[in-house]
Amino acid sequence: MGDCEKAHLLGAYHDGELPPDACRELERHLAGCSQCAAELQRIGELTRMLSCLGQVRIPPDTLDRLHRAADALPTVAVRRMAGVLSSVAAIVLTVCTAGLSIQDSSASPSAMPFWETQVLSQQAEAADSGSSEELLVGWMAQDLAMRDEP
Amino acid sequence: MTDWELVRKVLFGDHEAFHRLLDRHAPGLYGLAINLVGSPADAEDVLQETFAGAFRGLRTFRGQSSVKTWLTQILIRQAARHHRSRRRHKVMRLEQADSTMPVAPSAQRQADLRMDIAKAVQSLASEHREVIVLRELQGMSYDKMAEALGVPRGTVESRLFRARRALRDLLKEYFT
Repeated sequence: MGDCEKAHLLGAYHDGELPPDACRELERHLAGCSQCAAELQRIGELTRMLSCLGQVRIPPDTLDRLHRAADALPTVAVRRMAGVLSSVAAIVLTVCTAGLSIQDSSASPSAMPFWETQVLSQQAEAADSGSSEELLVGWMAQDLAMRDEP
Repeated sequence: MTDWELVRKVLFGDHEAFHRLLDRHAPGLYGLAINLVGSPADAEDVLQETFAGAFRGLRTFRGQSSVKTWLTQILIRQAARHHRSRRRHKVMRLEQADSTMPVAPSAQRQADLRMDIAKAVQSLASEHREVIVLRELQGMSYDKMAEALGVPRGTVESRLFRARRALRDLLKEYFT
């Protein structure tokens, strides 16, 4: 035999969890539905059976062991400090690594500034002409202009 | 002092406040644990894992639910985990023992209603066991159950409906 369409409401009714309007409607239904009335009785019976399990008291020695286990947990302050310190260390490490990699790439010969290459290649000529300072300033200005270009 | 005040003290490094929370909630949670996992030893393990988990998670606790509900949520998760791992071992033991154990219910089993009910509760599926224990043994309201289990109230109602049916089937010899 299948369930009555109101059967799913019986648990909530038994537990006092049904709204008052729905309660009244279900009570009217129960008066004429023996299937639901029997089901409600079985729900009540199950609740009474389960009540025999009763309340369980925590044994004192169990509580003592729980306290000892709690003592073993590290304090929040230490955990927080460890967390902050590891974050700082990670940031420092990242910054240093990034700095070193930039330094490495700028030290390569191909990245030598324009004015330095000009000085090296034309050093002798410039010294002879007696205008080395003017030439140097010119190359440096040219170098800066090249860096500004996108 | 309220639970929330104790939580704040723990966050500021007062470990004694954590012991006070433990004293306050362990007795109630022990009953829940023993009904969810079945044995005192397992209940103690689950409770210990619950408080360790709570301690680790204190910084993320925002007070949206009560401390009791929050601890209950953790305990239910720990108990489900514990039950899963225990079931794996139990299946192995039962398979080994099947050939030697009698299958007929004994007269002693009839007499010991309490033990049979406890066994029946333990053999329910996790989601059924949880709602039976929270409602029938802890007396929790549907709204509180929904909060503790992290499911809608309608789900609590439908799970409870099916759980009662399943439990009644397991205990049918006691129903006239």
